[in-house]
Amino acid sequence: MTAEWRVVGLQENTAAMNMALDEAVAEAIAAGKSRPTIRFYRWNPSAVSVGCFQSLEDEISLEACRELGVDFVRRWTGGGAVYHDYHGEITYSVLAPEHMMPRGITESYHMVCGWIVRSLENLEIKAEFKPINDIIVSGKKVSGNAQTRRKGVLIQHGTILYDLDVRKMFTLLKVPKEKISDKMIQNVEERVTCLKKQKELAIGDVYNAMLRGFTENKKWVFGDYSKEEIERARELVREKYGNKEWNFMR
Amino acid sequence: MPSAQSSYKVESGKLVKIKITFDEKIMDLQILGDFFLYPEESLKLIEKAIEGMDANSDENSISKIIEEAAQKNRIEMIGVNPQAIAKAIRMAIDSV
Repeated sequence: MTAEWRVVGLQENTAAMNMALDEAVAEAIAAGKSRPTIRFYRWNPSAVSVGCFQSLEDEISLEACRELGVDFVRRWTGGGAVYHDYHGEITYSVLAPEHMMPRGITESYHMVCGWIVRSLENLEIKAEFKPINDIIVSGKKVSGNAQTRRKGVLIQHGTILYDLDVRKMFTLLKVPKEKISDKMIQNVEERVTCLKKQKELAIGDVYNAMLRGFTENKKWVFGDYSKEEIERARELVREKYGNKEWNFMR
Repeated sequence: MPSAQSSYKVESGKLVKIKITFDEKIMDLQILGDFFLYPEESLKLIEKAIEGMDANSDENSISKIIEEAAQKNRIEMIGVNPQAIAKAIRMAIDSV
């Protein structure tokens, strides 16, 4: 069976609302009330998200967040801390019943990350999937991704770096020295790149390329969130993603 | 009661951090890091399985307890494994 996907075009939300929408949509899909969904979004204000097994205070300089007006949130997926600059990236989420996706976690990463690779091909940028969860261009990371499965629904979200302010990023993030030394690279700019460094592009070009890359060979329609999804997301902001108990859980 | 921390980068994997309090026994344990573990809520079950172990337990004994908890609760780990968590726990205790 080929299900028809709902695509929610580029929107912007707070960090808590972005994460709450993922969970609300996943619940609606699990309940059979919503279609498999691809959403594209930005973070307004810019924000840092941490993986669900990280200590927020170990990973993020809360003082720098306050000074720079940057928000923060704990994701419900694993992985590392990510700085989501409003001007510097586009985030996506893919939410679908597990039966529509490969059974294995690595295989399903491979599939969705393949859509990102295709998106970048649309921009004539050669990229490749680097397991566990990265996309690289010229050997440098340009996209990080995280996946989970809840109540029979696969959720993968990730980000594509359009522009990169390394100084700002590492003012906000506390990078573990072990991670840098393990890769034998001291300079972050040698490990991470952004699309703007590859070629002259507007962020709208990146979104259009992602829209094509993610929807290729699929039946899909543009749609918006249901009233029920929005209400549930607002509830999740109040009860989870916007509160200290969740964000400072570890 | 001694408290300790450690960080261990798993080869071809992710970073594991340990925060631990212990005397003769492991009293309180937090396993942190940028790894993936499904279902996410079950990390607490692994932590609980280790709490109460003798603080002198060797790496293999700790790893075995983690493996048993993982099997029992159908836990899947990516970028981390029981041996790596056990190694990081041992590193933290031995640092005191």
